[in-house]
Amino acid sequence: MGKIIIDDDCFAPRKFIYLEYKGPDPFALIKAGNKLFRRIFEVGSSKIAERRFMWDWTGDPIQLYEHFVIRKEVSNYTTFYFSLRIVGFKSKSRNEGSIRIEFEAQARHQYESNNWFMTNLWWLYWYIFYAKARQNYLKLCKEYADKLLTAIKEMYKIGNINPVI
Amino acid sequence: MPVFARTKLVLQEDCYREKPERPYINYIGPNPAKVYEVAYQLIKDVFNASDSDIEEENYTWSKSGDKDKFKVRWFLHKDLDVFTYLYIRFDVSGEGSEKEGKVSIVIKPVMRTEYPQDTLWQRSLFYEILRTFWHRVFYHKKREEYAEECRYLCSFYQQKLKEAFQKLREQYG
Repeated sequence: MGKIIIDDDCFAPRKFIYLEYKGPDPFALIKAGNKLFRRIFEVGSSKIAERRFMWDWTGDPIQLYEHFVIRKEVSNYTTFYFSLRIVGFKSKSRNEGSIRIEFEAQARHQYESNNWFMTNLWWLYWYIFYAKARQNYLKLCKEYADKLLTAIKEMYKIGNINPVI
Repeated sequence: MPVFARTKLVLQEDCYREKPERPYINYIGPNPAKVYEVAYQLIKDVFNASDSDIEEENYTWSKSGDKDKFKVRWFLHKDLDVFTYLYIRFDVSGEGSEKEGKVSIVIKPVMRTEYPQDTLWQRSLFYEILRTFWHRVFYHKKREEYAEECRYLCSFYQQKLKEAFQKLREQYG
């Protein structure tokens, strides 16, 4: 089947945003995990994938690597993908350590059809109507991302600008 | 917001063209963590920007005891017209406790103009001739005005920061 895919980075012109925290209870985000993502992105558990989960308890500090991908459908043609790659270290004796989050947000616009006429019609629709919607979706995507970052900061009780109501 | 195009011509200029040094502001006083909030709010107020115009690209915060240490980088995208936007980088770093600490803020103001070059028409020689002509005759002056506005807003921001620092010292000092 013919497919048109357009990927927009929500943090354009950059691809990633980085958040780093050092202090007590660095793994609080992992504990909150799915619950937090469900609340922020308003999705069910089936939309949250834990692509990779590596936890090394053998040494000191405890090491952790996690990759979450959250899928949020916003229209027939547009889906948001939020990806969080988390690397953390925590001391065994004290509940202290660090965590680093690489956050990527993408808006994917997709259209599938075998019919060349419909595809051309879609392009027309895209240029005339959907371009504006695309810009609004990008803003929405960024809002979701900001909401998550704010919630994470609140969780760790660190410098925060927009408290989540 | 950057122009929506896969291929584009980007003209970037430092707002302080003749003297491309970075405005550097230091704060020494109580509650440096509060400066983080104040600096952000001031960006919104001075540049008339919304939350979605400001991007926190890098955020590092460490806590040990009652001391906080942080390093943050914000990018402000301030649209001026369809082709031009201000792209200002703010580096905020600080450390200290509620009693005493220090913060430094570095501003890198840049102005960007982007012309899309996606379609066949936009890539044609005729379009390029027209665009260059229009840019030289009409748009150049406009860009000079934008650069002036950029410099003014940056100075205004620095001024407001100093006032806010004074208030912080009075409030927590």
